[in-house]
Amino acid sequence: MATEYVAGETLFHLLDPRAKFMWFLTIMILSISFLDPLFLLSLFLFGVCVPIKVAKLPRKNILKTFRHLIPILLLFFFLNLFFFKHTKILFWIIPGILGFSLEGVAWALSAILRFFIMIFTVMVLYSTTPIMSLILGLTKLKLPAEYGIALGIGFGYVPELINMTRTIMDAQKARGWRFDYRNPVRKLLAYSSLLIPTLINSIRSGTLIAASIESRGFSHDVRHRTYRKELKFREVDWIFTTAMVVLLLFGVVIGNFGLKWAWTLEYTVTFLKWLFKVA
Amino acid sequence: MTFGQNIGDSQYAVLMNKVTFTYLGGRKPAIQNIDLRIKKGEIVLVTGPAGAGKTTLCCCMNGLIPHFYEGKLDGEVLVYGLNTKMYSISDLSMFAGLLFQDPSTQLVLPTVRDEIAFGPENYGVPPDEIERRVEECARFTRLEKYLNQNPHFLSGGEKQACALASIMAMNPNMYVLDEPTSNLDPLGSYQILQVIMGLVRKENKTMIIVEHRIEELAPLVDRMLVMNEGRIILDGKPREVLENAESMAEIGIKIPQVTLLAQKLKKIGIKFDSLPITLEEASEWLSHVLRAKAKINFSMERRISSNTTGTRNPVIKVKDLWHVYPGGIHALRGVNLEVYEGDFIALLGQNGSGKTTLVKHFNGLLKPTKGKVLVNGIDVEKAKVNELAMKVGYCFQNPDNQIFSRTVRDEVAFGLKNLGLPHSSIKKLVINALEMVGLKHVIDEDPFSLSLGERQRIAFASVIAMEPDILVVDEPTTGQDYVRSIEMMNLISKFHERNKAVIVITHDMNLAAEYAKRVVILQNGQVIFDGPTRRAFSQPEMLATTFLKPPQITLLGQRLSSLSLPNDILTIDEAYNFLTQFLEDEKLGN
Repeated sequence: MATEYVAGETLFHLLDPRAKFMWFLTIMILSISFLDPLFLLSLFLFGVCVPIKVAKLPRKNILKTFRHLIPILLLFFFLNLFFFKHTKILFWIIPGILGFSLEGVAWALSAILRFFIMIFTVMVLYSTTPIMSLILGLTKLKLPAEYGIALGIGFGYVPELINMTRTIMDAQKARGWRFDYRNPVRKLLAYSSLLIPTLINSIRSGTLIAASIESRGFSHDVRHRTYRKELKFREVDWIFTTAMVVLLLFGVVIGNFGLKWAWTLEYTVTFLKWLFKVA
Repeated sequence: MTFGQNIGDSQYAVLMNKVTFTYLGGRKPAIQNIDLRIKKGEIVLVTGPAGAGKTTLCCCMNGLIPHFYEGKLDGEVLVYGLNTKMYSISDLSMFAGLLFQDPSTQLVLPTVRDEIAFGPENYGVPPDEIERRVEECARFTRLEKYLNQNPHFLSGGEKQACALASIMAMNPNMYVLDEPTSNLDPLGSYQILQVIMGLVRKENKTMIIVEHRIEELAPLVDRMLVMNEGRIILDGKPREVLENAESMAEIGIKIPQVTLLAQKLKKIGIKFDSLPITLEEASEWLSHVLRAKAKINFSMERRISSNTTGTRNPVIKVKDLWHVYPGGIHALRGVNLEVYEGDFIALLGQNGSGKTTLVKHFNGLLKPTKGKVLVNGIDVEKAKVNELAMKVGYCFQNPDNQIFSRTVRDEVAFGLKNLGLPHSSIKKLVINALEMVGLKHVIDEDPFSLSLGERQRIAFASVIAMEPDILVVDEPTTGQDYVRSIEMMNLISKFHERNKAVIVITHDMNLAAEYAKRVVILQNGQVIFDGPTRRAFSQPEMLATTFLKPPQITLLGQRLSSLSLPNDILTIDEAYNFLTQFLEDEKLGN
């Protein structure tokens, strides 16, 4: 996934990480508060695509993320499409097991849209905020500093971990490693030849990393360590956060308690019926 | 700081009193009975074979032992007057800054800037001061232009420079550097040694360097310690310590080649005033010796190199091979190469020159972007990796990247099972392979319980068990001490004797000179040299274009070529034989 920080001076970049967390939280909660794909689509357009536009994220990164997601999305779509039951089946693909229904389509669309929203929200957050600022934001929100740093180290170490896994895979391939077994037990065994070295190397590296950060005074006085950047919650952050809180409350209320229509597939199904001219 | 007043009291940076340490679960002490006094401002080189206790010694100096690594610590360690048992690692780290061997386990933050700032941040240094230190340390280690990049995308030398900068930023009184160049290529080592030397000159700070590179460091340090089996066996000025060069070489320490030669020549009565430990000293001394003995222009018959070229079967043909990684990095740009049956090739070049990319095409791990690779006539593009695995064995640097089985037997059988061989022949091949590496006796043991050297031999056995015609070995000597390196090279040459083609990627010029028959040098994805080893090393200017250097002994010959020494001496024995014969002839002539 293209989740590297993209430097910029846009409004969205300059928001305080805490304000961005509020946005992140709002979108995430709303995405699970609604079921109807039409609502999710508008959430995606206004809640995610608008920030992408405002932050001027390069199209290349978006497309790259999208391309990586295609196989998962298709899988998601078809699983949800065919395994959605308790509705009027229009026709059977495998009688009694796989059926096709408009509710199924709406349900599947809803699932992938939600998935889309989640992935892209994370991406926008990472792309517009340096990891250390995110961590600082979390720390200011009362996350213990140790956890914050651990999180930062986790992110910093990802490229190394990918490298390591690749090397291990190459080393096993060079010894004729195969994983294209039909038998699930053999398949599992085949993967253990990747997992065990990865695990052991990670534990070993973990110990060395711990020794190295201890040697740089990590446990000196975590509560009084310096953060080079101070976060400032400006007026625009207040406005933005307030807007998000209002949106969140509104969404949760109408989504979960208030109005029945937000938690059905009715609108999309009606739309699909109109589209396919099904009675 | 409450303990500030103690600092001035001690004239010693490190004071160790009968220190013995046994790791939790360890069978015997990692270091025993160490008595050591290191004065403030002293620069000390510590050397010794693997398992001598060098890293343990380093870890004692900032309290990682006993506070981080558990075990039993007897005796006392005082660092700048502070007893390490009473003070925390972070207190002690203000005095002793530790740099470790592997840069990738020291770089943990998203950018170089964050990395360098991490230490001072932990100590609550004000932000302005941190920024100042970051700038200064980055400038010193030449990393200014990478400040906002992820350190993991830097080259090996730059990564280690970044790790060093992050220690420097803490402004410690003493540096403890634990094999800072072991994992680096020649260029990276050169860069980091430059930085370290700069550091030595810049400030009058105490420095303890654990290193195998005696050749480069001995002339720079005040004092040298040799460790073996947990004890300090030699301690003194480098020149005094190196008087014991031969016994040091026996326990597996890499001695400067000129020093070993001088020791050997001393035995047959060729004397020196003071033991030469550098190339300059040796060439001055030898030219003196030779001039005194040989008054005339003596021209020795040149030995003819015994390279068998001629009608041999090519096993690998590489034709105009290009490889472009996703992201547009051109790793190979039109490589042409033929590998013959019975070849012993040293593939040289800096990291990033394309060596690994090239050999990964031989067993199909990578497919050509353009061009062709034929292995025994088979186009690798159409073959699968597991089909090629039987023809091309590929041995990786770190055995822990492949070992996963519960017993040595299963580990060695892994490849054979993948190839779908019958049970009976697997059994036989496993035993054969283990016999060859001398580890048949551990066949039923857990590979993880064995030493690193043994694990490396097991990884090697698991590859040669498949009886490939061609063997590729990727950096068998990186991160290894000298004995293990030689052990590996001997195994490789044993395999080569079966008329197999062997390609070794290495950064160790001495071993390349000693073992390889042919040298191929890559630079920026192109072959810049392909020919007999002797010819490669007789061209120091060509090597220098890619930051490689002939072995010290070869350089010695080249320095003295005006005195009729050949410019393509490859080993100490060759130099010794040549010189003794030369001097012998002189005697007869007189």
